[in-house]
Amino acid sequence: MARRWAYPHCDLGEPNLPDGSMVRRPVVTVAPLASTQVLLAVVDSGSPISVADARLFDRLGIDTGNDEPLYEVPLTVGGGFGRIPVYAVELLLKPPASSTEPPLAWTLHLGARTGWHLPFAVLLGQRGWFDQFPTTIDGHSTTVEL
Amino acid sequence: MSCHDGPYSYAGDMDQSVLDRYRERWVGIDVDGHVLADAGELDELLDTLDANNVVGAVVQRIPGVNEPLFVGLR
Repeated sequence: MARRWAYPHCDLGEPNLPDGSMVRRPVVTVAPLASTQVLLAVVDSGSPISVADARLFDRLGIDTGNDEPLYEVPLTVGGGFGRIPVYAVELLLKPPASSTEPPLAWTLHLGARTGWHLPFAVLLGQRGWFDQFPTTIDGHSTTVEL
Repeated sequence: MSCHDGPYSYAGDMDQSVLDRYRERWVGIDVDGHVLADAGELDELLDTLDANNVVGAVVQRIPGVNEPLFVGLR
């Protein structure tokens, strides 16, 4: 039987909607292998790729100025149109707070986007997340099969 | 189950004044919701946390009050 980690949706400090309801995001917690900190990653089944703040990639062992990417993907960047580089990187999936299990390492293709102004550091989409981990998202939590 | 159960309790547990103070800043938050460090960019914050020997801070960016709601990359 597969192990499951369940992460509650989180309020990331975004302003409430006009009707007063709180914005809660489906998040999991991740970290670069060499980091002792915990990064928030929003899980988005509507995104075909996974992307992160380009400023994270040095911690992932990638020099985005010099290292050759696997490929590039067209996206808007800083209000303009550009192609973002995608690299193979390794991340740690950190268990939810209630678990004492160790983190789980996995390799994914991750795009490096500059001009990042989102309240989370990583966006996990179909490529890199959903092709690796069966994931169920309901109105309250994200459940990941390991 | 809510986001405020356990050690990953952050923005929602912070006072509004704290939230307002760090708008548009990257922050590292401890288990009690206290901001341990802040910076304008993610890599700067990670460097600061490491330099201060902080372990296990939850890292996020506090969004600005007028920033558009994220509904997907374009």
